[in-house]
Amino acid sequence: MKALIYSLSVPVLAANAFGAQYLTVAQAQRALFPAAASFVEHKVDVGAEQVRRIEAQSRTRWRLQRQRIWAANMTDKTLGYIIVDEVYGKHEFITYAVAINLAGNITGVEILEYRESYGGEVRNPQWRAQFVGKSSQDAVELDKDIRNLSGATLSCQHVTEGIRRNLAFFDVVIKNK
Amino acid sequence: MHRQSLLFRASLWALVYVIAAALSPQFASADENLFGYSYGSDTLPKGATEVYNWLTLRTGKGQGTYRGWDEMVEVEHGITDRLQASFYLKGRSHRIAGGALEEDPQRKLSRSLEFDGVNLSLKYNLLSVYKDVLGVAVYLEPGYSRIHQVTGERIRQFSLESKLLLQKNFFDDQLVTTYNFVLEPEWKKVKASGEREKALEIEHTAGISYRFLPHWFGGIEGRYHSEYPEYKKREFGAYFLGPNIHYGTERWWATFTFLPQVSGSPRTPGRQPGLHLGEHERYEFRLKVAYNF
Repeated sequence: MKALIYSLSVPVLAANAFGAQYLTVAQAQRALFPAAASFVEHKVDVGAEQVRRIEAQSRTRWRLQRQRIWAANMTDKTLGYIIVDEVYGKHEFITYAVAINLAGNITGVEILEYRESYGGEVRNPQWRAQFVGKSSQDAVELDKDIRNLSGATLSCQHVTEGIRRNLAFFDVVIKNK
Repeated sequence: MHRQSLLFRASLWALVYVIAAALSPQFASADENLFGYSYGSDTLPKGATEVYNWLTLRTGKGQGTYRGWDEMVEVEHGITDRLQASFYLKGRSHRIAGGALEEDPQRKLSRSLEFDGVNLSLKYNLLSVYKDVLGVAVYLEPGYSRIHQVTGERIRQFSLESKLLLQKNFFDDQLVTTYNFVLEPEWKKVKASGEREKALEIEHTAGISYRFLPHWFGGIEGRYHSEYPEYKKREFGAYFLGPNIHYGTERWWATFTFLPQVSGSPRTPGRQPGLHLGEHERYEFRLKVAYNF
């Protein structure tokens, strides 16, 4: 029993800052579409046939029945859409936002929340910049057209898969609305 | 004896403090152990360090009282993104009474935690479980021990554990499976009798664990352990199977495994049927707690 107490009493020293919420949705919207005058939220239902097509196209699993997106509007036109999504981290979800213009090309990616012990390098602007210009016609695959960050492979893989899935979502659901 | 125990405890605390202070703020949780016995193929990222504590209770000989506590503090460091090194400081305590030991029924021992020895290990990741078809790593761990794991006798033992670690994940890495093949030659001298032994230990471990809630993994793991004295005929072998649970956050994680022996040979006559209780015990409990600074 003494050994058990000892085992649990390894000292906890001063903790450093680990992951955190880096951006709110509103801040991410401003960062991704700075020219937009307003952002209008839409809750988009995804039907079974659409799920099948998204999964086939993206080679990933679709987990949601309804996806939240925001249209980035100027006074008389829509500039594009922002999709806020979550992918699995080691312990919790990694929340990110991807901005897609009306042509279906990514214009930016932001990491909103990252609460894992390591792998936070996915916040690196240069790594995120690799996605800019990609569309559903691109592979969007780690070690193909997206460079992996050694030591952060799980996060890189899951964020990349999430973005590929949302490009397919845009293609299958939004573009045809 | 009591003084030795205190000294050992003090040295463990000192080690943790010194290393934590030296490496902070680079401490980070990684290479999380979802299982008590089976290892995954992941390694720590370069520059990351983790300190954790292992505690194993082995109990139940089918007769008398038997409790063996194995205590270990491990410091793990990522040398590159694929290569990690660990240093282990080991302690051990025993309570043996009532004819618990089959080969030495008269043996009684009540000894609190004492310094047992040290291990070093290197783990090299060959294939990433997140990118490649299969996660693969190789592992080498030389060790020194001065207390016999079963009898508590004073010994000098050197060992060289080598492992092949395989890991395959499913469903966005929510379902984790592992398999380890372990070969461990060891050289031992019992101080009291002067008897020398050499043996080869062969072990297979496997586990499956599922993330059923954020932070929580639960699953089952199994272990087969056998020993071949003089590298010849198998002396004994035992199968263990039991549940495990893991909780992880960004600052710390813990894993608990309960591993009862389900079958073993040679059987121990007059005790628990179907089990080998000479070199193994009826139950093993293992708790690992890792803190990040």
